Amino acid sequence: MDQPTLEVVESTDELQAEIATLRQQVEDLEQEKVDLETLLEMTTEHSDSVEEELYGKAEEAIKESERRLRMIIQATPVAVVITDINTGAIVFANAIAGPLVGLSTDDLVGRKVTDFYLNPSERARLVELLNKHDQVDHYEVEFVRDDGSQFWIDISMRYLEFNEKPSILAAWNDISHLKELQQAALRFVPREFMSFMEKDTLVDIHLGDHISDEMTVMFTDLRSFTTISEDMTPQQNFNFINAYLGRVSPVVQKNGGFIVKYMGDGIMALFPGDADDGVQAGIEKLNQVKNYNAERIKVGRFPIGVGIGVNTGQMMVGVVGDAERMEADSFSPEVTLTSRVEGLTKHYGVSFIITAATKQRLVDPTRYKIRFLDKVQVKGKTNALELYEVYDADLPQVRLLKEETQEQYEQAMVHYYAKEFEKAQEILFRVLLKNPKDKVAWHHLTITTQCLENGIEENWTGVTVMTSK
Amino acid sequence: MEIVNDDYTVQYNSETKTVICSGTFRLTGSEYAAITEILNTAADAKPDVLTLDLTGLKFLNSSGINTLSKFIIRLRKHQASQVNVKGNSEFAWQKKSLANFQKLLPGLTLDFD
Repeated sequence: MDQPTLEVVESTDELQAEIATLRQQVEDLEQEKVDLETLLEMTTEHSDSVEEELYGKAEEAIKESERRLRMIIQATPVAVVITDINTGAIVFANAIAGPLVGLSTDDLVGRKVTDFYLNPSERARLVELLNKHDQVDHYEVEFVRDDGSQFWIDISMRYLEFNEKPSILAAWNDISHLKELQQAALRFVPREFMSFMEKDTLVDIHLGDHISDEMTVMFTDLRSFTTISEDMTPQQNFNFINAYLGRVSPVVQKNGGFIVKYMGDGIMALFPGDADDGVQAGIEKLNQVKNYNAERIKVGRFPIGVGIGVNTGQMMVGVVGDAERMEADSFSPEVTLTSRVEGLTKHYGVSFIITAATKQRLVDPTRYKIRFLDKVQVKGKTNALELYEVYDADLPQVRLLKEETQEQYEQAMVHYYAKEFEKAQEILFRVLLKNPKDKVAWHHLTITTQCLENGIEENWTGVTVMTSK
Repeated sequence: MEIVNDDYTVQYNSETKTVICSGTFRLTGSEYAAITEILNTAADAKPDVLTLDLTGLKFLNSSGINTLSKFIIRLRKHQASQVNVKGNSEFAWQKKSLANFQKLLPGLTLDFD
């Protein structure tokens, strides 16, 4: 080794200064280390306290919002109920909710909400709707109170997080009174008329709304009601007419028709479906009258008679009146004609007349006892109208006699229109020998005899011209 | 010198030797640079007395406490200023966190209301 071991020998002073600097640096570093540790500690502590504070505030905010929610619900003048969405258990209810279902609010909480649905599956349907649309607004549901009585509510639902559980907030509105009003209104405007007019509520019905279509119309009238009513007090009159209408009206609805209006003792009914509906309803009406008469005779009252006219054609059904007073009505030349046809039941002494238009549209005319009545020209019409008698509702022995003589009778009419009056007369005699009470046969015999005795005009067609209404 | 916006205010008044921080400090670390600049200017002026007024400071996040702590350390290093911090006991976090400033600068006085 030729290198010297110590080249520079520093002075003691310089060395001392160097040592001092290094010491200072170490001190600074240590201070910095302490500072950093303090900083870390401070930052952590600060974070903790701020977190704690925020959490407390959030909790307080939740409690406050829940407190406010309860307060608002309690002050709401509608029954409000919060239910667990999954179990249907009622977890909260305001003071109005309990009494609505006949319970105290304390007793209501804890019960299953489905206990109060008349049809419990309806709640599942509403929850499904809520899932789909996020809200359920104004559904009408039939409810049942704790004592079993039923009533209608209008229900609206929203999602709600309550006590950290998925819940439903529901508002229940008692609409029984509204429903009663609706029911009352429907006694004035029949539901069938509403659905026929494609209307959901009465509010949707407006003056001038109408539907024009081929329909079957029926007029029914009480025979000689004016004479009957003369012997009765006003109250007896009302009782009688309502007892009668109450018996015959339901068959209209039963056979797919609806009553357009009552005209004193008269009924105007429409059948939008098959012509058969009108014929069937007429037969059933006459049967109802027979039953009613049996009751009347039993208590010493006189039997009543009715006349029914049925026709099929283009009719207009709609709403007439003024903005303040409306009523359902139906009109068209066919409707007017039907009223005349009904009037002819008196003229021929029969109960039930249908026009050829109705007979042609019957799905199966052989189901009914129908025989030719006459060719007529009613007032205001130029064309001849073929009329038929429906005698299904005649007394069994009368019906049997008409059935037995129908072929002969109709043969006589063929001869009559062929101007073979002697043949017609002869056959009608034979019909009347079998069934002397056949008023229609008597009528035609009289006419035939007149033709024989007085002769006929050159343009004779055999059509009976009605000069009166 | 001052920063004023919707969320917070930082003001340094060299005449009154006061730094006022108020509002809500919710910035990220690097966003504190502008605030640090004001604080450094205040510390480096080496006033004999310096007041840090935090009475209007509602909220301070962790980066914020870090920024203020470094300000205190800088003041300590200069050893030039008597530091007085004004706090507000309405804001619960201040009670705990501001007391820790004394660990960094033992001569610091703390004054709540």
